Amino acid sequence: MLKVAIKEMKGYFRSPVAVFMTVFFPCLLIYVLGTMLQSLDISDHSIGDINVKYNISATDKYNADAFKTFITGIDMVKAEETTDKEEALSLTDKGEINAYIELNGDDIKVFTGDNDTINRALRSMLGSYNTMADTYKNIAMVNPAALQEIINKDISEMSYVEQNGLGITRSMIDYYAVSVIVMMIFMSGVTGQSEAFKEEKNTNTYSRLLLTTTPKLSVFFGKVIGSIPTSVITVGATMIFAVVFFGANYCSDILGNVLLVVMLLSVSLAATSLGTVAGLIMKIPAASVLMPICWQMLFFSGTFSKENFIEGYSTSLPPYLIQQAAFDLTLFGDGSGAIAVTLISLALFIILTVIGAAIFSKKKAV
Amino acid sequence: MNNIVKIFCGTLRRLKIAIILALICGIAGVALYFPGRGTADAFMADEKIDVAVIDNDNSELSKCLKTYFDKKVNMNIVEEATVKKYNDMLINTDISAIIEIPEDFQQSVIDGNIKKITSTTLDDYENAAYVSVYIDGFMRSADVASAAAKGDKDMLIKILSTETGAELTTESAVISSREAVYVQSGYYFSSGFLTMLVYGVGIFVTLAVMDDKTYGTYNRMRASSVTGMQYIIGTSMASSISSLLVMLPVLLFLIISGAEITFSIPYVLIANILFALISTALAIFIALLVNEKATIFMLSGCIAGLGSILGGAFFPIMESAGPLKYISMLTPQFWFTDLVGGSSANPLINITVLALYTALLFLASAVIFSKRAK
Amino acid sequence: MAFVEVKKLVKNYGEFCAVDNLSFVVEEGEIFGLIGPNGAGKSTTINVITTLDDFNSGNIKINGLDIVKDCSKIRGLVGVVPQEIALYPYLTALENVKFFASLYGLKGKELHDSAMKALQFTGLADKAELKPKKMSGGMKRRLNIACGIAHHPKLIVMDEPTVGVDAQSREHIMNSILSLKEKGATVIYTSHYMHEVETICDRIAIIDHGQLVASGTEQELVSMITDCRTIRVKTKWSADFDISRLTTTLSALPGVNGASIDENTIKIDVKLTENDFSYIIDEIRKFGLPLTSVNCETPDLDAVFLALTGHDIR
Repeated sequence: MLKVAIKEMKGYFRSPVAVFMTVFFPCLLIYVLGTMLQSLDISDHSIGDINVKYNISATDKYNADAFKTFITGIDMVKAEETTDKEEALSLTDKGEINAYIELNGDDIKVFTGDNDTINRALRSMLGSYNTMADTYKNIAMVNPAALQEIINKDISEMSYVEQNGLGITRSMIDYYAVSVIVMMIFMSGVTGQSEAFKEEKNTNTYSRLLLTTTPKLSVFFGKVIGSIPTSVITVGATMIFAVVFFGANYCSDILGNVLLVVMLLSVSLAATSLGTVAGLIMKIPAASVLMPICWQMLFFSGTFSKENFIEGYSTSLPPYLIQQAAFDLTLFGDGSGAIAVTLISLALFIILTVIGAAIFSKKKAV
Repeated sequence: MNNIVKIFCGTLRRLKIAIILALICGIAGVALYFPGRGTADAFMADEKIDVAVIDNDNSELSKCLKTYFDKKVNMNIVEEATVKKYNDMLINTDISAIIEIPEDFQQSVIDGNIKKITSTTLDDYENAAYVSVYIDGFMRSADVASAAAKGDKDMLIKILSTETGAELTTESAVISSREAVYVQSGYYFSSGFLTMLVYGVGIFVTLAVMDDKTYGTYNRMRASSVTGMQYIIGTSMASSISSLLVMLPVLLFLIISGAEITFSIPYVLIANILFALISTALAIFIALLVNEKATIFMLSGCIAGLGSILGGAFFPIMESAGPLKYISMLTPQFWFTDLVGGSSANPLINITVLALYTALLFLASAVIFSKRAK
Repeated sequence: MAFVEVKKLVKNYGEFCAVDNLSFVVEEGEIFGLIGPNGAGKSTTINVITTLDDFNSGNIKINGLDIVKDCSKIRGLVGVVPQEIALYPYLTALENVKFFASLYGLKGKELHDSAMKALQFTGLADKAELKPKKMSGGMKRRLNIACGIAHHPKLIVMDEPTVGVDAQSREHIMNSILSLKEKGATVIYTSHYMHEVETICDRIAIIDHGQLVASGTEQELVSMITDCRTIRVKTKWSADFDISRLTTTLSALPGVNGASIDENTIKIDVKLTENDFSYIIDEIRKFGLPLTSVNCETPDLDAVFLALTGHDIR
């Protein structure tokens, strides 16, 4: 059994293609995707500074002053009063300013440019202004006596918001440092291992292996054990490369990282055993069936892009669950998911290996 | 000349599947143009941003606040999930912020001792200040309403929830047509995918040349009057046909349909032809260099997939990509997409670089070829 | 007791009967040739004997061990050299031999020594670190043999071991097989090259359509189709020479079945039991005829094979 396993390992280490695809290619993917997509990992586009011109007409002094104070009081907004509407519209059309705002009585009209993000921000800010204006008008109606006291109360500088950062950051390199490993586990583990015995038939050594005094089961287990170093290297080398060369972050403590490695390794073992069983059962090349299934599972699990997600479907996919367990562990230090995934994977590995052994023992040599 | 034509026709026959595939890819390129047009609206934002709200108060005032978020400041509220789920959503940038309304919020406003609203965003969220501005807008209103209501909850709510009918309307001031921008974006988007697909089609050429090498049919040809150069030229011509079938249909579609094209058609046409030749030369180069099919698939996959991503085929390489930007300039895809994307300062430079790549690859192939022939 | 006993072996693939009541024995220490046209059932028979495949009925014993009851013991006695090159391309020659030998239980120094001996035996000792993809076809064939014999099997089954191999390698392989015999191994040898089978095999079995057509030594097989060999004497005679007297005289000689003339050649059919033809030559000389060439044609295995299995293409 050990001899077969060592032979398998030699086959892996001596194949430049195999080593490239399981070590360097994932590292390359992490770096390229993590770097290129970093700027696209946003919840909404950055608004930046806003540059507007405004005009106030047909309104009382109080309203005008309030609007002016509001529009010029926001740090991110550069507002300039103008009386030349045509010029302001032209500048907006050309993109030299972001918008032209007219306050006419109580009504506000915004002439927007082509930047929808800024347009939305303007709508929101002016909606906020309208709320304040409505509040003052309502106070004037229900309790006019309180109005003067309120007007004197300078609340323009007050902030009622406690702004917190989440304290946890995950760059796209961190994201792909996990998802690419999951991808490799499924693609090369499941589909690659499904061809394990086919490779023996291609080199005509299948019969020769079974002719020997070594029991069939030893040959089978040797093949399975021989795939373990590939898993270790894929997971381990990729993680080390990602941390050392690309600055990826996994867990902040050693124990967390150990749990993460154990989880990914156990998933890898389960995946290879699944591939082996599939290869033994299917008459057609198992990879041709497993590859599209794995690909679509990975696609909708957000492995290639976070945005590919279908509520209800994606959350039931194994790659998604594995990734989520990994992220819970690396970001929040919550290992419960990782432990569950590890245990399930190990159980699957054992069950599938036993099934595979049973099927293999019944297989004929010719 | 006769031999070149014979090799050309023979290779075309062998590449029947590749030709059909190339046609399909070409048509796909035209189809991709249409969704690609929408990418011009890089700043197209959803009507609302998504925020999670944790309402620990569940009062009328907190309802007012949530209505304000929804109706006035264009926020789409996500509720009824766990804190862990909100954290996951925030990390995944599915939401922009988690806004937490504290317990006894309403009472604190009534009492005039207003508790702060907590807004949690990612550390590098650039619009955090705007979210604070939006929240402050309501809170200032609540503050003054509280002062006016003097402890009367109903009055407080009435002041905050009654609208006076003031209108906020928007009108677009943009009158210049964006059609040209859409056309450019659509073509860039489609071309990006085609730079990947053309290499996929090129695998057929690689395998055909490799088979000639492996099974000795090339030597059989040489035993006749066909020279090595005639073989390369004939094969390249046939391969170029398939590559051009991938690259050109979308450009021809734009020209024929009278799309508002602002890029230089001659330059872009030349760039397409050169890129088709590059993919041909690369396919032959790989076939001459490599002996195993597994290696061919791996190399072709890397060139097609990674090379295209690196070359900015799917999205422009941002300055924030750092050293990756310089690495991407080593790829012919970069020079091609830079030209068709309209961001090239001098298209002639792009054409020159592409021509140099073509010449280099064909030369390298010829050198390997002649060495093997000896 | 024969080393290999095959009795009434039947192997069916569905409704097709690949081996039909085949029986033969192989004595210990002999090289036994198993020949037959394509589809005759040779490979099926070999697969069954080497425990690669099961069978429907019959009895097979190797060294007294029953193939069904003592399968794993039998595997330890048998070495197989398959028709296809069965080597791992990423292992060196030595690693290939050691790997397969180790699967038979060899370990440590014994394993290494056995592997090196096998490589030396096949003339590949200096190529031990070479990988199969860098080897010529002949070298791969020899390595294929080395992998099958490294564990010192008592029975070696060789399925067309010289396919696609140059003359030098073929000669080396032939000599190696003879050496194996000298060391006491029993060999079952199949090939389509009759000259090889003639050269090395002690006894030969011809099978066709799954049945044994004939078996025995080469001479015994030849005697099945003919009892004489032909001597062709090329000579010259004048126009007035009495040819018929010559042929009559020659036909009357002891051991001669008949004589005839074929252009300038005298064709004499001599009994197989006659090994000395000098008296026939002397007789021709008495007629004063010059002898420009003398050829003796003995029916070979090719002729026997074709005679027994027919000329139809399979």
